[in-house]
Amino acid sequence: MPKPEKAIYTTSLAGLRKAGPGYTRAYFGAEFCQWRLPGRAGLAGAIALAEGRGMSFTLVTPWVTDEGIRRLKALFRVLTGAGMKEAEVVVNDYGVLTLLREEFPGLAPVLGRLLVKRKCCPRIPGMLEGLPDAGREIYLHAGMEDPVAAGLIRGFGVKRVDMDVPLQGLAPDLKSAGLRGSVYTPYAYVTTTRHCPASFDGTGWQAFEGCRLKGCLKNVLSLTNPAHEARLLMRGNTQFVENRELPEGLAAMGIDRIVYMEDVP
Amino acid sequence: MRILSPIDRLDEVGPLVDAGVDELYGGFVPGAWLGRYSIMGSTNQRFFPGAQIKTEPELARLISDAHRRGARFYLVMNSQFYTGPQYGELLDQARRVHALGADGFIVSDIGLILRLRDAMPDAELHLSTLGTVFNGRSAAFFAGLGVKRMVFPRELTVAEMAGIVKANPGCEFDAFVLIGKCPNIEGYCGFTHNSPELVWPCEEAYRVEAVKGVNGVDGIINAQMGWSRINRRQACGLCAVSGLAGAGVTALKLVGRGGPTAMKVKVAGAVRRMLDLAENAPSGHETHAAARELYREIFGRGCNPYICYFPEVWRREG
Repeated sequence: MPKPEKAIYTTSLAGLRKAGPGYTRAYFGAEFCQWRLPGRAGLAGAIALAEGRGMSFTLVTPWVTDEGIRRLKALFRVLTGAGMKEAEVVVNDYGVLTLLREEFPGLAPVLGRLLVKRKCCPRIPGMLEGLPDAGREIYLHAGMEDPVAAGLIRGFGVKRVDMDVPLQGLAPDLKSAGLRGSVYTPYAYVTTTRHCPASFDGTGWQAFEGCRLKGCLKNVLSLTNPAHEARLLMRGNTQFVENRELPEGLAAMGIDRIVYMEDVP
Repeated sequence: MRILSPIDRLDEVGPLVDAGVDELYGGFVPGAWLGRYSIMGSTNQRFFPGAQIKTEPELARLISDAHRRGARFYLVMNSQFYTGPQYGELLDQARRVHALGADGFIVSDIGLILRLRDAMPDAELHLSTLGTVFNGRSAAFFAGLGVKRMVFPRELTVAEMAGIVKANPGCEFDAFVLIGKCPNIEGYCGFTHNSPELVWPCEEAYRVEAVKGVNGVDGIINAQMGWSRINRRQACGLCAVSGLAGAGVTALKLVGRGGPTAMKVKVAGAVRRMLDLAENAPSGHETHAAARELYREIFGRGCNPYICYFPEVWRREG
């Protein structure tokens, strides 16, 4: 059985420079906030770094407003212009998916973990015991396993979907949906917001209209509460749980890529 | 603009319509479904019994009564996703409720949207806020799937909404204006709303500490902790009603499934008064003064930026 592809996911050039050996693909960009997207020069630098290390390249993109669509067009031109083989874009917004198909068909779309849909609350492991079998089963699956939905996104050129592993585990069947999967580790996202505390300037959240504070770049918070054992980690606008356990039998689920994060993204 | 209100019981139809509501939305989870999946596997994004219409006969009478009073009713089927075996049951339920006269379905899962479109082409499909339409292209994507109307996420500015409406002239859009503002983006949120005390993970008090902290981390901690110091169920966007009308929003949506009838009626009446005021083209100052007075009338306190639906208006007007 072939080993899964190993990718490194980082949001900064410094993170990409520090990446250890053994990775064959670089995930680079911003998954949760359009104000954290790299500029054109930053993206060009990341592509050059990845190429220099013999890695394929995946640009990670967030949900976006119309302003974000404009920013992404500029980045997609850079990525297209780089002429890399197998360049991918992780999309977490259906508007971005249509943009790729209509204007940048040479870039391969990957459906991001915000759109794949799965249950990921840190309370879940504590509540499963009281549920009927069929009710428990829901928590191991994801929306994009559905062959009808998967058929639609395949029509937009999507062949791969990205997921992560919530605390209760994961057992998707992507093969039946005609898709391949990636799994991110160890930070599973729980929730995200535009009310970003790292953009709060005393009267409101800059993230609604652009962000100059960018407190997300250097600060990570820990949120703990007796109601659930796992602590939440928060960078900028997004909360995660840390889960270093990967499910057994990834290949049987259709998962053939592991995306490693060396820091909270 | 129309007013779209939550409803949980037959006896709420009359008071809500009398308060000025034009449209109603509610959830219903069949008994067999509850037995198989429990309320935690709800067909919609509410996981407590008080937020569901109890029986199919009550639902039938509720739809009939709403129609008799000139109001429309939409059934909410907006779970973030469903699993394979659930789709057949969902279609059966949708067919039955459609036959009862429901005017449409509020949905978010793509698999369900496609199945409803194919099986019931005359059913009106609305995209729930869980569909996360943040840009004009995203709205066009869902319109291409047969969705006629979309509920905006709670995290768009009025100007951003106006841009999306303008780019999608064939669609209608709803914007939230009162009650339940989530700290997080509902369509991208994995928190489970299952506490018996109805206190959700996003509103619990957390101990917040810096794991990595340099510049301004205390301010970030304080900003995050702010959510546990306010009541997010007292959210308001009344100041923006005129702006939303100008943006081309079709309906003002009220949150509050599972809430007390008296509060539903009170907020519907407040929005109706705000709409009446907006017709007289008041100045920005008059609008804000009226909205703040109404807010104090409803909640007995002043408003707060955390629970302002349109924080850009708060920043501009103070």
